[in-house]
Amino acid sequence: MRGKILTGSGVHTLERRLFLKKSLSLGALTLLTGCDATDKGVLDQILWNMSHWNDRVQAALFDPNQLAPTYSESDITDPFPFNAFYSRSRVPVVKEEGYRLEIGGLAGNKQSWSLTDLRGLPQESQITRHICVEGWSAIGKWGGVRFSEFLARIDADTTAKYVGFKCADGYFSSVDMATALHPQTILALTFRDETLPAEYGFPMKLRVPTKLGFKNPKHIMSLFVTNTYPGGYWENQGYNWFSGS
Amino acid sequence: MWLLTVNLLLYFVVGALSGHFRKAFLPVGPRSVLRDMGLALRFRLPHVTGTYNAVQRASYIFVLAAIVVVILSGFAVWKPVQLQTLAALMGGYEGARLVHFFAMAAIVGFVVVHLALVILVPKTLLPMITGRHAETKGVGQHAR
Repeated sequence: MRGKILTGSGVHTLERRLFLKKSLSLGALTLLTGCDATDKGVLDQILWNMSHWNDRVQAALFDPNQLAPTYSESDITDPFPFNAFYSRSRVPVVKEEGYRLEIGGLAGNKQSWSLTDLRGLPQESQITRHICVEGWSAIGKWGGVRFSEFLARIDADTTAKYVGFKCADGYFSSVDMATALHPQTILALTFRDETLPAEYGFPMKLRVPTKLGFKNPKHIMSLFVTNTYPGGYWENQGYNWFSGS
Repeated sequence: MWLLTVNLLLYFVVGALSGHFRKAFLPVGPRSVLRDMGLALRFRLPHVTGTYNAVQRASYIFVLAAIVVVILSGFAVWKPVQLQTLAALMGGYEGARLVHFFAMAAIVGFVVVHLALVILVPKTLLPMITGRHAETKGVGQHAR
């Protein structure tokens, strides 16, 4: 009898301890029930720490000279998938007339750029695989200005940590400087040798074949160089920030 | 990913150094596997506590291989540019995804067979988790 009571209280102590420690499973449980903000906070913190650690591992793994595989014209995925956080009918309409790419942050030359200005710079193209965080991948051809060239033209401080982007659809994202300077990172103005269509990011998209698709912002209106972590639309909701491939 | 990798590496180091792999997994050949499989299906396989029969040896080697493949293909899918040589071995990014899927399916298959056997012989559950050998009679009572 006494033994039974002891066992009973032992179980209670264990349960309370588990609860107080806010173990992972309990945190997950509160996520499921959608209540108790404190438990959720602890679980979130663990996951964010893990994601930040993964950022550091990926930055260490990143080889600035390792090129993404390139493909031939016949490998291009047709039709290339449309993907955004809204439907195709809500793609932002940006008029070329009056468009200026604004430059901010740690750049010596902050003059804004028209599309004609950008088309006047040396152009290059690539056929690379776009890999989406959702799991699908597709091969496309993008052309435009090598981003490291562009950063040199605006006299950007390339010792800064981040380059951030703000887009016409309210999207925003940022990349590390090492990736920004990668030879295959381009400010894309064309898709399959035609002016970049609205659904793929007119007036321009940052094409980064060494990162997942959501790190390739479309409809870029302004960019800035900074040492302050700029985050991003999905990144702030928990997507891994570095997301290199 | 990191947990699985570190756990498996530790297991390999300890298993190799302690001689557990050599003692527990070898020898194993197709003939002994078929023989023990036949015995097991007729419920006549003698169970020697602490010693793996040939089917166990083969399936443990199989699942370890599947875990190695799942980790390698996982790295290839995670870093198809930085680790493109690894990805190329599996037919590129999409190929690595397929390899990853089938290796995952193999592990799930192994788990399903395990659970089915546990349901058939429930008393194996506790020693499976604790690693201690249960007495043949009396569920959950440990020898010694």
